Amino acid sequence: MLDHLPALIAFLKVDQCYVYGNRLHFSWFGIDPASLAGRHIRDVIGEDAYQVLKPGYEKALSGQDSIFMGEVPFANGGKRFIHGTAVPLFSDSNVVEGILLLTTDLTEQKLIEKALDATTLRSQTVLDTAVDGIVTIDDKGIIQSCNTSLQKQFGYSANELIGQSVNILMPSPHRENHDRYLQRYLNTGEKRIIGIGREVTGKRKDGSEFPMELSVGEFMENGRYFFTGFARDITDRKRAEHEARTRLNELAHVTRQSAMGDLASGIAHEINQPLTAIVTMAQAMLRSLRSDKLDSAMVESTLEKIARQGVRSSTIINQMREFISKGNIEESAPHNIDVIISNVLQLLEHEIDSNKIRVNARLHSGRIIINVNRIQIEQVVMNLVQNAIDAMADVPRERILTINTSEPQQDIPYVEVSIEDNGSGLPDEHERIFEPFFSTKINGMGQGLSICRSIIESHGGTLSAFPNYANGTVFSFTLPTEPAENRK
Amino acid sequence: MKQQARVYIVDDDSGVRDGLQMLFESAGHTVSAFSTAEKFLQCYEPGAPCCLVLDLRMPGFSGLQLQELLARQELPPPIIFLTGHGNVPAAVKALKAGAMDFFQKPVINEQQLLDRVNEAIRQDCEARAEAIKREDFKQLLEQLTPREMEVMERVCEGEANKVIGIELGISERTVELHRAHMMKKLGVHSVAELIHFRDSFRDL
Repeated sequence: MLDHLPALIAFLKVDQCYVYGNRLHFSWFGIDPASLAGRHIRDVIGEDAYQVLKPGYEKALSGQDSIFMGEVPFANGGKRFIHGTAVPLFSDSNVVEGILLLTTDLTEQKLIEKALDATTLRSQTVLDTAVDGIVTIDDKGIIQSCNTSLQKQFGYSANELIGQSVNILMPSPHRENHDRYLQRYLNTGEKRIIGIGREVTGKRKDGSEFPMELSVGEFMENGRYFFTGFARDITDRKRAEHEARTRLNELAHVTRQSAMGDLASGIAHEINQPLTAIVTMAQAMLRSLRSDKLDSAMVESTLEKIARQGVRSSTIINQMREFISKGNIEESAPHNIDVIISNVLQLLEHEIDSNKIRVNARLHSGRIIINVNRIQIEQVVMNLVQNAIDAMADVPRERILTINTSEPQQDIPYVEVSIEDNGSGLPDEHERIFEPFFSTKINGMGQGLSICRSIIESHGGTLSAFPNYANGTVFSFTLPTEPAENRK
Repeated sequence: MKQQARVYIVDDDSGVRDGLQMLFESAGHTVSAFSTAEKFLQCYEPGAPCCLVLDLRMPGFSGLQLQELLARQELPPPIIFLTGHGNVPAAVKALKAGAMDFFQKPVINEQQLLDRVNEAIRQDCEARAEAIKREDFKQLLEQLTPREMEVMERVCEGEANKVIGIELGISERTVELHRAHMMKKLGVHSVAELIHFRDSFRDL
């Protein structure tokens, strides 16, 4: 019977020599159990193992039970992790006659345990070193576990979190509603965040909030749902995005400012002309008055002229003020594109004249009304015309600027505007001209066309460029003619 | 002479043009005003003394281009530039190319402008008078024979007839004859007069 037990069993006399050993001795040590009797245990298990176990044997021989658990370097069989019991055997006269050894091999179990430990440890390490915060909750929203990153992100310790509802990590109104969200999911199976991931706001222990990207996975254990949330703090990314946007806005402003600068010198000239006229006429009148050569007819006609010049300067100033006022203040309103183009051409009249450019304005849009932010569209037209003027600066042939607007047609829901020059033409990297910071001009910031395109696109239109028939470039943009609310 | 002088105004702005015309007329000038350089060139009389008041920046033919064109003439008219914006490089260019002066619009001190216009007209009249003198003198010189020219040069250098005769390989008597003819043709009566005459020609 003892032979079939899955344990090594031995009876030793007080001299630690075998009386009996069971069959397992053969598989452990390769020794026939029949030949064990009378052999010292040291010879059977090997010197190394004996040194480890000897104190146990001696303890048993002294009359006390002894238990050993640990790794033992056995002869022949190699190292084994064992649980060994040494029990003294007493004679009738209560004298120790020998010891009973019962040894179980736990090596395999131990290996499994070790392996398990390692896996757990590794997983925990992975979880804790993950940049993302990780939290697991049950189907009631109660936090089961969380990693180090999550604790850092939210400023709680694991102890403060585990056992609490996960809603303490959320700001209102999610804090109050989270239980309902969970319940709804469990009832309907409708996934709003699980497996999708979205940007949400987290709330730290100190009450501060931060943007995070949350993705949620689910798993089932013992028939219950559990959810694991992965939270990534995107404060930095948000800040970078915000900065980039601010920078672009600033640049748009700067571009506008520099365009304004160019324009301002033109306008300064424009205003200076009527002022010069006024000053000079007044000087002439004074001189005539002092030399008594002033007659009332002359006074009348001169004063009329002076008044006209005054009105002219104030008109120029008003036009300028309208142009300078920021584009985004004005909302979209019904306008006619031909009128907008004419206004811009008027503003740039001096520039066009002094560059000796012939303008062919074929404005055919009739009374079509488009819903646009006038200032922005003016800026686009001004920018494109200015580009055309610049492109023709070094052209020896006659410089011609052609502006077309399309005739209204029944089934075409947009108006098309083309601005053509016969200048130096497009660079090789054709499409790049619309990229921010791409410029072919020495002092160009590369903002103009990229801003133009975003303005046109924000109006639901398109802006493109292609080479003109013989020389130069055509810029063409469209603007929808239907009211904004009918679009989409 | 001043009464015949004319002030030409070229400015693309009708208001400015009107104002300047009134101003110069109030100072007693005869004024012609034009909106472009091309129109001015159609009416410009090179023969009469004048002063040009030009806008630097004009559509079409610019003030500087007009100046360049007029500079090729034998008697370039004096030019005073007006400019609406402090365009320093263009102003420097204009002055280097011989402009009389340069004013910024509006001209705050119109008396200064009027003074400069008067000065310009005075200089133009002088230049024209000199030119006439030079033309007369040229005609006189052309009447001299090559030999008489040689003699004149040497007389002006202060050489004695005898020396001139040796240099030119002719007799002193012949030198005296050439000299008498030359003085008569030029209408001078003494060596001092002759030298003055020649020097003033050189200065022209």
